[in-house]
Amino acid sequence: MAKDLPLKSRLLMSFEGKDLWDYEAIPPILEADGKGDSDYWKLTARFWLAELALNGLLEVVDEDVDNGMHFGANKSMSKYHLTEYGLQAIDSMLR
Amino acid sequence: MTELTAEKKAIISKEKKARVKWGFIWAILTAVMWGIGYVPLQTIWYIEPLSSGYGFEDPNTGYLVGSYLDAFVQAMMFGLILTVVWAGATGKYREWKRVITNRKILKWLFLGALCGGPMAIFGTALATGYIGATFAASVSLLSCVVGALVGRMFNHEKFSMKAIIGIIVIVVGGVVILDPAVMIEDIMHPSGDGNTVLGYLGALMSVIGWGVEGNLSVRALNITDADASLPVRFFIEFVFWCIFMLPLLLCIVGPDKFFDCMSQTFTSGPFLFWMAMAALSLGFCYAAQYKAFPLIGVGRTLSLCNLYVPVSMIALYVFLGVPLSIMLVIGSIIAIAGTFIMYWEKGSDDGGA
Repeated sequence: MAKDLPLKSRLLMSFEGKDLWDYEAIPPILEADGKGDSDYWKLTARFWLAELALNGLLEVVDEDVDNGMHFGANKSMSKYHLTEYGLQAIDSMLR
Repeated sequence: MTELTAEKKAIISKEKKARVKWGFIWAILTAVMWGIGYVPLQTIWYIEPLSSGYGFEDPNTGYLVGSYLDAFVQAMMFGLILTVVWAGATGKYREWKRVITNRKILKWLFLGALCGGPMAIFGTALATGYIGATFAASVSLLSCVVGALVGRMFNHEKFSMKAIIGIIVIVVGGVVILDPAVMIEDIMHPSGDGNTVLGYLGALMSVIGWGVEGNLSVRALNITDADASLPVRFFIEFVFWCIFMLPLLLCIVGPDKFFDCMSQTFTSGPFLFWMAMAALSLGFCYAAQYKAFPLIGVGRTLSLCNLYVPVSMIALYVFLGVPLSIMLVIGSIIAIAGTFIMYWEKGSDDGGA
């Protein structure tokens, strides 16, 4: 990635062209920044996804419960889809 | 779609309820800290150098320069304290650097900071100094209306019937807060030592400034972490004061008086202490509000946060003995009711997350 974008911006861009579960989208972004093992940053990234969904840049298309493989047993997980508004934000602000 | 068992549905529902609980905690904390924040903002007008109008012969000039430097020191304290304390405590320094070095993101934060800082915060300082903190706090409720109108004009947001009714109720509350009979009397026959016309002008600046700021900053805040971008927003406002607003003041009052005013500002320990208190309480509010947004939704957060007005009235009465004006109390209740009508979403318990 050419520009050193904020992590939340990079997370949003990872949804371009594909729907992803939070446990699929978050680890690559955090690992690339050396934060892959941090529970704090995993929680922060899940919070970012919730914000992006609330603000209409992403939409939740599926939900499930973690069996302990990703964020911890009995945590909810969501699958997100990039909206048209989200794509506009990427085009106008992040390229 | 994943088939969810009853057990999984119960787990998801329980987690969403926990998020809603935390969203309400953040929103209530915002309202309380925001309301209490008006106490230091009013207190600084009782202590040197603002209490003596910076030694100007004309008290109006002194109040005006005082409001100006009050807004400058606020920007400085907010920028430094939020950057060092909040961005540092949340481990977001790298994010801070990424936000401030990204031109497209920075542009929107800068435009928002111009409206929020030199316009709205300076306006609030004028309204607080010339009329009073309870008035300044109450009249700020009208920024919801400006924000909605600007959103409609520039972002083509549509108004629901609920929003239209809410706006009408807020405007009615605003009319009661402004108390037209008193306002017209103040404007037609301003008193000698405290020119209230400037106070009303400041109130107008704060209402427009905050209403517009939200529509500009949100573009950057949508795609960045608020723990990093809010400190950046205040930091660049501080930089703008240093490179444009302070030289402007220097040109207006002349070098001798300018450096005398700066010296008085930065050698007054009590003044700097209370400004730091304002930055800690009001700066915290900005960050806390953004924690609440995804947990309970923007509408419910904004509605609850507007309870800062009664909190500020009570805090100013308890700590500083500022009398309660019946018109301000009634007007604020009406305007807050309007914000609840306008923003409050129907009672789902799932929040935004």
